[in-house]
Amino acid sequence: MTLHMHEATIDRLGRVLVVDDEESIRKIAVRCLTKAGYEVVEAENGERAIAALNSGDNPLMVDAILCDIHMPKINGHEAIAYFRTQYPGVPIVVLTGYPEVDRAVSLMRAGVMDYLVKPISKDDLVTVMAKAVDGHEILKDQTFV
Amino acid sequence: MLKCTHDITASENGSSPAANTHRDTESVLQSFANVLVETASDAIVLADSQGTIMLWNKTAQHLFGYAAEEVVGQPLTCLMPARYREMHQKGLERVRTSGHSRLAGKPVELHGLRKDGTEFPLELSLGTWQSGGNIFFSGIIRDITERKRVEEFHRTQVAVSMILASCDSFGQAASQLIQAVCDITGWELGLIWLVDRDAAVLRCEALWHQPTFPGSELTALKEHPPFPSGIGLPGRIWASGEPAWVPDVLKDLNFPRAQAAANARLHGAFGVPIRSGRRIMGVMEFFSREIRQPDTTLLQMMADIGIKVGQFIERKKDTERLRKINECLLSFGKDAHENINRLTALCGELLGGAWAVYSYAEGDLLHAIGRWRTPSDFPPVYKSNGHLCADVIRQGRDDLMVVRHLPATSYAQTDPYVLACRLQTYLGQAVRCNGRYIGSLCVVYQQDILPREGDRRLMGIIASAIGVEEERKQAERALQQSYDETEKILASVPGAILVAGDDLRVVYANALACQHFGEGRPEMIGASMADVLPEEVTQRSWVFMRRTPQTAENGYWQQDRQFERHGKVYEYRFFSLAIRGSERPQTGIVLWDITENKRLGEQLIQAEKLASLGTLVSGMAHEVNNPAQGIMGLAQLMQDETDLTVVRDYAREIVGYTKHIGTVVRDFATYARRSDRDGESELALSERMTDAVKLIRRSPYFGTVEVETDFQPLPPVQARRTEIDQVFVNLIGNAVQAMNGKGRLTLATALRDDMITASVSDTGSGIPKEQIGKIFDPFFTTKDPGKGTGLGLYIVHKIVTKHRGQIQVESEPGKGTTFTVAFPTGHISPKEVRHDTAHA
Repeated sequence: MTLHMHEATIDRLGRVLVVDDEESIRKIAVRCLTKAGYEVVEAENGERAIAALNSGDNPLMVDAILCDIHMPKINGHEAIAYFRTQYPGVPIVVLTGYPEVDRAVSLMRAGVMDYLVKPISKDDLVTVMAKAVDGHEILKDQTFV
Repeated sequence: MLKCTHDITASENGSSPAANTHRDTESVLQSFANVLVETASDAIVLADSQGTIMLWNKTAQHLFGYAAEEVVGQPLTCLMPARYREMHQKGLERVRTSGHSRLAGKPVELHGLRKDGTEFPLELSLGTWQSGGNIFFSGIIRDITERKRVEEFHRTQVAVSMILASCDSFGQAASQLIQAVCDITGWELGLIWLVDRDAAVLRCEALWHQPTFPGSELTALKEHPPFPSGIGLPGRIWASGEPAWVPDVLKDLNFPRAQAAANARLHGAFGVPIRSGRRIMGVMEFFSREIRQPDTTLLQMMADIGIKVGQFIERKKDTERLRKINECLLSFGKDAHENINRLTALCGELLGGAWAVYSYAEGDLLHAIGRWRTPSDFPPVYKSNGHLCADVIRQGRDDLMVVRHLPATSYAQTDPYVLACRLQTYLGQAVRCNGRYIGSLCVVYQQDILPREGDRRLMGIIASAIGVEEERKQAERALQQSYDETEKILASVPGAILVAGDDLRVVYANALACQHFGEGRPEMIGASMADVLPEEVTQRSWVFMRRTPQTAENGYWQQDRQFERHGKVYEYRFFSLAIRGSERPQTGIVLWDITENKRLGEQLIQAEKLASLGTLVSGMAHEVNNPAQGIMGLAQLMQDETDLTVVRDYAREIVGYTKHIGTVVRDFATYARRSDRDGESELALSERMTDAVKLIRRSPYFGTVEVETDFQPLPPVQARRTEIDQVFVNLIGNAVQAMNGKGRLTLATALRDDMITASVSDTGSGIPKEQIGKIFDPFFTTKDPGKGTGLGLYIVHKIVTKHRGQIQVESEPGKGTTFTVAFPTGHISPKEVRHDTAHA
């Protein structure tokens, strides 16, 4: 772990978008992922997330998305559906405080890479996100090939 | 033939031609006078101033019985009874001295004395004249016996009529009648005998005599033993039905009272029957101290009076019978059988039968329920076959059935009593009840009887009265049956029913009420409600009775309330009993033992809450997991953190998260608590709604729903907090779900018509019209399987009504739904009730 962190300080491992309406939760995730070597972009709900990705002339490219489900305005479901159509290659990890089997199944079917239930430890979060970012890297490489 | 002692016409004879002519004329006149006197229908008598008879015509001879030769030259006094003679001499003397007679010029009525010594009434027209200084008298005498009789007859008739008209009873009239007849006809003593049918004798009813009799001599006459038919003068008249005359009772062979009559020196006697139609009711007899020869005119007149008296007795008897019937009807009690028995007895008594029976037919049996003097072995129920009563009923006629000479009829074979009791006559009147002939009232006689009109009427009246009693009996039976059925129904109602008057005393209690509240008493009627029910119920009952409008129809109900007693819970309701025509109101209470229901109800409420908690708990998971995530994240960050300030910040944040978790858990735990362990407390509805929103807000489906509130300042509602919370959690939860995470939730409270209202409105999908009637039904849900229990609104309704509230829903599909609950402010606490009663 220290190795990853260390590496992260030297070279950023990838860019992650964190979407959660609870600011404290969002901040903790940001701290954890930053420490692990990722560049983190925050959004407090689906609407903001979509706006963040579409700001500027060029779309902001992210390697992975960590997304809550129950959020005001555009909720996790809608946001995920949007991400899946606009950015089909970007792996999405769901982090929810309200675990439901039905919902988990439908999200996995929609192409979500993982479904995490709060509370989750820093290591587990970093591991899953690392896997997601790696997955995106592989996908990107294949695209370039 | 005219005989004169003096030739009064020859006293001034002349012999000249004129005198001759004069003599011729006189001769003609003389002849005319002779003819006139001899042919006159009245007696003509001439007498001189000494009262010596000078002239005596033929009619006089007939009238007095004297030939002219016998009386001419005799004094006038021989023509008059001795009592007039002195007066006559004085009158003659007066005429001789004054030349005037007081009797002259107008007819006077006097009595004449015949040669045979008998008297007769006469009318005398007296004339006097003078000739040659002498005074002469002429008398034209007419026998007025017949006229006198007619007068006597009229006077007697009038006197009898007046006596009968003025007397209420025959007993009162009897001696007056005898007196009137004696006074007018000149008889001296009279008796009236009446028939006593039971004993078949004549009994003395009255005696009257002229005051000239010493009463002691007559006692034996009056107190003579009653006469059987045919014995003595009264018995003879009774037997024959004809008047009878005895010139001298002392010489009569059939006169048992001869000794008494001899003591009283009685001789002449006659008697007439007192009768109505053919029926002899008594005898009137009259006596004289003189031997009297039969006088058919008098007998005829008295026979007429006998009929008049008989009719009077009959009329009085009818009146008396009606009075007795009336008396009998007035004495009626509740028991129809007893009344019928009395009527039967009255009928037998008034008609003087051997016995009387009233029987009603049932199938081919007759039930003798009314009896009077029936033989001791007369059965209470007997086969109708061959019985006269059965025929009377079968023929079903309103007029009396009369069967005479019973032993000669076929009934002698079919009815054993005809011969056994020597019955002769049967009178049977059919009794009608509700338009059907159901019974027969009969009177039987051992004599041959032909009922008179009054008897027929009497039986008709009594039969009608029995019919009325039968109808009443039937109506009572129907009423009793209906009452029994009602009682059976009320007894099978699984609720205790009590009815109390405004004195709060029980007037009705069904079986269950007696069982639950009777404290072992089999009857609660008359018990004070305060003794059998808790005080609060009694007081509320009083308030209800006072508040219920007099015009309220039956079934005006007051809402359910509850009380506990002996470990059981009773729910009760008041209902008004509008009793028409009664000013005293009555209130009914139905009390249901809801101990088990209540337990099940509480369980259901709890079950629904737990079921709905399932949904809420996922919200709680979110609420708990989020801070848990924070705590875990911060704790892990702290592990690597060297900067103590940052660590402290993290620790502070962790404390915050932990508190949050605590709040969430407490909220849910509070909500999940069993409500039946709570008491009622004063609640502000706005607070309850706000707390409910807090719970719902945690649920995953709350989404971005905006919450608006419009709370008016209101008095608190008395209720169980957990139950009210359950109401709002359900209503708000539904509202939020209906909006699918987006929309506006409006919570409002207000005071409307003495009700505290709280409304929950959403801008969701609304409820389809066809479903709105079912939403409060248990297990009705529009949610996906597993998402709702279908009990939410059912429980809401249950809780609201339990708190005497109401719930309303307005919904427009596509626009949203508003649920409004309303609770009464005028919550009657025991204090209020006391206040009310104090002002009553």
